[in-house]
Amino acid sequence: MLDTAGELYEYKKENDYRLLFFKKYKASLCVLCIKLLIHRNVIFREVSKLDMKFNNRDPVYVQVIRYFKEQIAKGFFEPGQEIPSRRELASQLKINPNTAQRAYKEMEEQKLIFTKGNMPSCITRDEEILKGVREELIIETVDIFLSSIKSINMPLSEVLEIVKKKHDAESKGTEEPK
Amino acid sequence: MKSFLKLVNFELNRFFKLYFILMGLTIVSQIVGAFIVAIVYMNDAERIIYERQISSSQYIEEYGVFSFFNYFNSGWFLMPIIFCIALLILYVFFIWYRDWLGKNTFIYRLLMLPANRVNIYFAKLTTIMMLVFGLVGLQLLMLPVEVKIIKSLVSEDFQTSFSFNEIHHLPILSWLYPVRFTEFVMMYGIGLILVAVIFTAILFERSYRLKGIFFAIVYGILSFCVFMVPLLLNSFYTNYFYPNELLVLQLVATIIVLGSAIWIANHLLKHKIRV
Amino acid sequence: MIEVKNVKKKYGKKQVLSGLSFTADKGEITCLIGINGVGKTTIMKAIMALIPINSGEILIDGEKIRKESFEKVTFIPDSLAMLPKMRIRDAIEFMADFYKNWNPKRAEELMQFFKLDTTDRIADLSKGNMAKVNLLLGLALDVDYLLMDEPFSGIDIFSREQIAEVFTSHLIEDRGVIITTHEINDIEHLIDKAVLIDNGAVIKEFRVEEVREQEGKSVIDIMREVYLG
Repeated sequence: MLDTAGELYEYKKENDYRLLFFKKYKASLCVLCIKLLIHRNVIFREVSKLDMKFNNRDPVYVQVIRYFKEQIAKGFFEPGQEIPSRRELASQLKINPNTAQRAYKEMEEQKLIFTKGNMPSCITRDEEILKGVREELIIETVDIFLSSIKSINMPLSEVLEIVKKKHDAESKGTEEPK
Repeated sequence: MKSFLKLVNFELNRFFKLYFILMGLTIVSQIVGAFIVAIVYMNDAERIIYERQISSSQYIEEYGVFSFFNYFNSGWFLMPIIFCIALLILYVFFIWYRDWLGKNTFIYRLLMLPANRVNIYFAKLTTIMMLVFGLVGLQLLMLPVEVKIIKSLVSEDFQTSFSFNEIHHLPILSWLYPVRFTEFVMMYGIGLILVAVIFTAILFERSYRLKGIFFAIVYGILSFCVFMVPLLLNSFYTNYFYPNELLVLQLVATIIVLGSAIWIANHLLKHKIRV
Repeated sequence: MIEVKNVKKKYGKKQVLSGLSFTADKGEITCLIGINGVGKTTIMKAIMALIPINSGEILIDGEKIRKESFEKVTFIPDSLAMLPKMRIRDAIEFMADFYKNWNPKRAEELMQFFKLDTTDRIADLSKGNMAKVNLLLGLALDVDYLLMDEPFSGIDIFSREQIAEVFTSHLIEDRGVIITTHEINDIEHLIDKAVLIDNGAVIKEFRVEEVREQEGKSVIDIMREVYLG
């Protein structure tokens, strides 16, 4: 029997179908994830010039945090990298400085960024957190993926075959010119 | 105080161009007129003398000597003065209304200045007075020039002497250049009060629009009555008041009218004005 | 903070403001929203004592408006209030002359940002440039509060984008802004608070991020609910 919360947690972790799924198809899913992100209309640039489009239904600060997480997951934001000040961020993303402030506050609380004294804020170096961010995004993508294929009448194993095939074809396609 | 001066400067600058045109018009018309009147007179005289073969003194006996009133009553002299007066009267109203007209309503800017709004009132009042004095001064400077021109063109025999004291025999000029200081203060004082009352009346209209015209008229009549009280009293109770007492009464009436004009204007500008 | 308390105003028979109340905090952008003629411009003018009110109270940082208040608040109306024959530099000189808190450096910065030429005459400016000059004359004052009436109205899209950039820059930071506009989609992501007005009264006053978080609705969604029932 599962007596402690800890044991329950462990049990859940092992049987979480999403995590199992993730471990098996890590590579393919990464590619898929990135494709879906592009599909969701996120324009990425170098860190020196940030830009994003907003929807007006989600809180802007939440969208900013998501944007940061995406940049981290894609590797455009390196661990320990300096990020623009709140003012600069507001100016570049064209958002209300109060929103930039809020986003930074949240990210500090989530330990995504840290500020040492009067120095500019930086992306965390903590590997655990960075991993967590990548996981979080992947899981989000997977959720979207799963809900989109739910309505299609095809067994999961077949779908995953297609995923693997496509992924391999693409990596081959990018390798061939070499 | 600084804002007041800056506003006066600003208002004067606005009218600059038109003012110079007025001055130019006056100068040109009066100088040209001086020449023309003198020359025409001389030509006429010479023509008649020649035609009728009479002597100069005979001509003078019949037709009289050249009088400077020929010139000072001529259109060349009077028209620019009348024109300037008319324009200034119009500007008494326009100096306010121009700030409301047009797309770029400037009154917004004036009302939002970090100064007492009554400064706007004082500035416009001062501007009008300065414009008036400017033209009056110009005319004063022009007179000797005009007289000299005429004297040089009309031969000695036909002239009479003309001293400046005689100016006050002339209709318009007697009003503008009162001989005694007290009269001077009176004339221009009345002018000042008139403009002040008109300004306040304008502010009534600008604050209440249609109703405001009614208020303006009532206010104007009231001011006039208060101002006339001493004179009315005097006509009813003739010889009751000493002249000095009458003067004091009139002064008091003046202060009441002027003071209330300013006070009401201040109140309207602060609390009732509408853009 | 600017507090508008139960303000009523009649123009002849028409009750334009029927008990309007809202607050605008310093450091926030508050947007007054409503259809034409609902009283947005009227309340702005009332805050600046450009029109009298019949009843109610308007407080700026706790006090009624006085002449010193005009160094604290400025109003940018929907048309440029300067003499048409003035050049831009004359307008700037005018402001510098009368206001202690005129910031010449910021004026210069804005001239360059908006790419304006000081020798242009006001009468010759395009609508977009006039709006930019108008903004400049307000933004270059070191005031705590800015009131802007329809800053985007009738302006081409590129000028609008430029103007919107002002809101995210240091030019607005720490100041309280009250803005009225029809182009809500241009600035929806920029404002802190929305005040929906109808028939001269506030029907809904809310913080936009809160509503997004709690209800997942945009300002336009709320507007649809409130105005179209």
